[in-house]
Amino acid sequence: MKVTINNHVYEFNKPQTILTACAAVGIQIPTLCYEKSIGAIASCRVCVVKVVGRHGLVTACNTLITDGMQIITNDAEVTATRKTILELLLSDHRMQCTSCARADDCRLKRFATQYGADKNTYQPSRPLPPICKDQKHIVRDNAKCIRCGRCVRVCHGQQAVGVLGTLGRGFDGEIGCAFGDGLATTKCISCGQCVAHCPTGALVENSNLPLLMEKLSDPDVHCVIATAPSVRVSMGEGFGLPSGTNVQGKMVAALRRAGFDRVFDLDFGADLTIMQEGAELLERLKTGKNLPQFTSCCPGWVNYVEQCHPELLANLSTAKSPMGMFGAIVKTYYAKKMGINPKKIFTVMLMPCIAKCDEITRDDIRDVDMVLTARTAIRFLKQQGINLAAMPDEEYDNPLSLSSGAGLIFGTSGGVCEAAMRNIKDQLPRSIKGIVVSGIANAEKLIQQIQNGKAHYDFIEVMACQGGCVNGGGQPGDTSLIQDNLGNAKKRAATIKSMAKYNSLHKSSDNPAIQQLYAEFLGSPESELAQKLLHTRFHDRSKK
Amino acid sequence: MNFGNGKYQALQKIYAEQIAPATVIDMVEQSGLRGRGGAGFPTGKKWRFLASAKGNQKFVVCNGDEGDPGAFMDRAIMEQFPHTILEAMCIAGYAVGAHQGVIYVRAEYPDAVKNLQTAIDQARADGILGKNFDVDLRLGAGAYVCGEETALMNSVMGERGEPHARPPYPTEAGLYGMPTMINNVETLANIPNIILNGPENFPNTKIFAVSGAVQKCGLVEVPIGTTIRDLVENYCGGAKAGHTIKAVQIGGPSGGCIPASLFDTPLDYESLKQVGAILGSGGLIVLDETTCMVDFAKFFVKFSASESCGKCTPCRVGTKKLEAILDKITSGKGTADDLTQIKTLSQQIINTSLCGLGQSSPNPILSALHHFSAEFEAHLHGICPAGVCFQGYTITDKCVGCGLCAKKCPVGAIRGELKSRHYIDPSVCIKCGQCAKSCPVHAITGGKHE
Repeated sequence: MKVTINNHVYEFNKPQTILTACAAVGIQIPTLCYEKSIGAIASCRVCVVKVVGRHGLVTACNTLITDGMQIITNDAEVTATRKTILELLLSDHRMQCTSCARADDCRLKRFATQYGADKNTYQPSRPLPPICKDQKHIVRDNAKCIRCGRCVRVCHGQQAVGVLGTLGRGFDGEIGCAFGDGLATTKCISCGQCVAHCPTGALVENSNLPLLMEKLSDPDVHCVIATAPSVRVSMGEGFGLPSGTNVQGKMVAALRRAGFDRVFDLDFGADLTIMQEGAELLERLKTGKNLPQFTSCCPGWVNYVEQCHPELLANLSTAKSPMGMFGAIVKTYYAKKMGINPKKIFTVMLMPCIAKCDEITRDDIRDVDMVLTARTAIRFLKQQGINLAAMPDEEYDNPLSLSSGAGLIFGTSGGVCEAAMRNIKDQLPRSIKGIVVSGIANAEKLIQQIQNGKAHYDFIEVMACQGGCVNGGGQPGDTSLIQDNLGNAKKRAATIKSMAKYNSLHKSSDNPAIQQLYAEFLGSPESELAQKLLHTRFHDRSKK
Repeated sequence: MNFGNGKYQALQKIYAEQIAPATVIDMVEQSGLRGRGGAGFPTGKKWRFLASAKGNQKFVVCNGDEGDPGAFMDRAIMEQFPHTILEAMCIAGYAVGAHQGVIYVRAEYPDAVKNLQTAIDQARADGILGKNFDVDLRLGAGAYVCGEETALMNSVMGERGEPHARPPYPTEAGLYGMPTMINNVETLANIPNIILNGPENFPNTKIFAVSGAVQKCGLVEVPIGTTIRDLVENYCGGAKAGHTIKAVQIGGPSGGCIPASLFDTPLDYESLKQVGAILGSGGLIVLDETTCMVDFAKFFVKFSASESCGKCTPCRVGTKKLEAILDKITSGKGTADDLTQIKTLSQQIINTSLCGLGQSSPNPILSALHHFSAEFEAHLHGICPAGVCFQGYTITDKCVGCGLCAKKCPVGAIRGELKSRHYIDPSVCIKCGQCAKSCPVHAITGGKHE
């Protein structure tokens, strides 16, 4: 079967959309509301093309090609129509492109520039709505919203949290939460997938770069930063490198040039988490209490359990997340070893995640002073005039960086479970059954099965974002024309897995730096100090 | 089943004569009945689609979400002949193999809701409903767009009333993912007749809800193909005393207006399309010289803008901008560029909107602009021939430039050189009328419905 696309013949045998077919022949069609993993919404209408014999124009994102179809992607009418649609979207837009956090990867700005769309073609029809900052981590600006509906789709679909929706009707309708309340009043888990999916700056994470600059500029403050497993394969995307490029060394060099006194690898924290969580699992298997054990290193998932499934609180591993453990160790062991007053240490975490911004507001994770999402970190480095892509490769600082391959794979779905199994495989009292899920919708399905007695497991790894932290809410969005966040994440995951393969330290307990930490400071995973510093408690927040 | 005294005769006939489901569909097809909701899709064809669709369960839906301004045919049928609708749905269910029907009525029709529910209860009590086929009532919450079939199904399922792209068509995957057929109230009301009297005797009539500037307003049932002139002048008594009819608006917010010069156009699906209107659901508003066509077009665009669900950009924002441009013109600030922009933007909205509501929302304005371009042009020069817009006064080119009006004006709104045409600044004018009274050559017109 074949179609013609602007006189170019394209042969096909699999069902596919006009959008995919055009991409296959190298013709790019602009899209705003389309993202592959959530499917076509067809609300923005900017991807319209002409199909000979069809009335009007058709949307490329959701129209399947059929044999003999004649597609025209770029004549005068199509181009003018796309420009009008962009102009309609711009007419009531808060034009703050110079200060907007998403200016560099804003799809609306990109296509508006390409099509020469003018904000002033149509007069604004309403005063700009105020910016919603009620939730600490996610800022919503409906004056930049183009009502594409992607945030709503991902919040209801993949995440099954369903706190965002469309309120009201027509031009005056807007994206918001039930009864027009703020996100803070809802059971939002701060996963940030809405932010990762937003094609404009209508949803952004809150960042406090001036505070970071203040700390970095203060000679009395010792600034340390630790980088999560999954950001070393995504940070390069902000500097024009293909997704999944390993930029570990370049990232270390860049952060050092930005003024951090120490750049650490959070994989070390991941190894530590496995030591504690593995020991905890062995103990639970021995006593048979609180099984299945759910992982708790994902703060989005912890928020979901605390708000929606308080009956599972006891099943969560009490081990802190790698970030939580790392923060505690920096301000105790590290401070003591280096002879620095812990109060003078400013700990920053470079994370793929917005829920991590929420996690540091928990009572016992306050050792971490700031979380930078990968997106914010890219913006920060650019502001500092540092081109990560042009950096030499440098090594992490010691002593809190040496890590095993097990620590690295924390960044992808399945990694925590595998790391735990590598560590305790030989000590298991019996054969156990584990399972891995990612995406809250999938987790919810699993919970239903377990609670209905249809499934039995001993150990369950849950990551709130589909595919794990490589697809986290704080990761840079896919900027390719056919946006595919999950496909991007898969490339990042593949790099992580191959990097881990070449790490000679297979399991967390092999890590000499971890062994040294236990020998010099913590004693054993069961010691009082380890329990105090590295474990946490969860709270029922379902009545919020 | 207890058919009682003369009720459900068509259904009785089907059972008594053991008419096969396929034959029922043949009869509907042969009658030539087309959807009365607006699009005019052949009803028999739709039934055939559903009958051949595969699915464990199928649904027959009656669309009673009548929302066009000036349309009230379905309301009358639902209030007065609820059993006819139920009978037609039973026949449809029998013909296509569906066991569940849903009537979607707008909650703004409380009497229709009450009567339909009573009829359903009676039919259940008589055993007509509830065994092979049952019908449920679902109430709309007031959104016009829920009359669009995909939005209607979302609403029935408790979702936000928002259309989605077709395919899949409802007859493939509709309510709860099952094959579903949506028929308009009036379409269904024709079914028992077709079965009872045979498709060859189907009179093919259409009910029109006539309102506006005629002697007799109300519901008129005429054969399809009757001319507009016949309907307006013979059935509805023609213009009100002392007035001249200048146009009819037909098809509601998706339709258009037809000038008096084209009143010999027959009322059928194709002829109306040719003159830029649609048969639509049957709302017909008669307009005389006191109606300003720009203002009237603005009413419909405003309606479409406020009833847009807001899902797609062209309908949500585009109609709002059309409204703003018309506002500009009716307030005397329009330019020739605005008319060009209206035409371009309208065509783009038609070409790119997701559902029928958006795709047809610029029709009223385009047809008004086509047939009454002189009225639009006049507005650009500060004149509303019907005296509706500006709600103030306009100096026409009869002005001799005597300057008397400027002297009389208490707020200094009138400017102009002596012996040349004067102008009124509408933003200053308080519409007192002193200028018009003082003008020696009667060059000043205006004042709402003078």
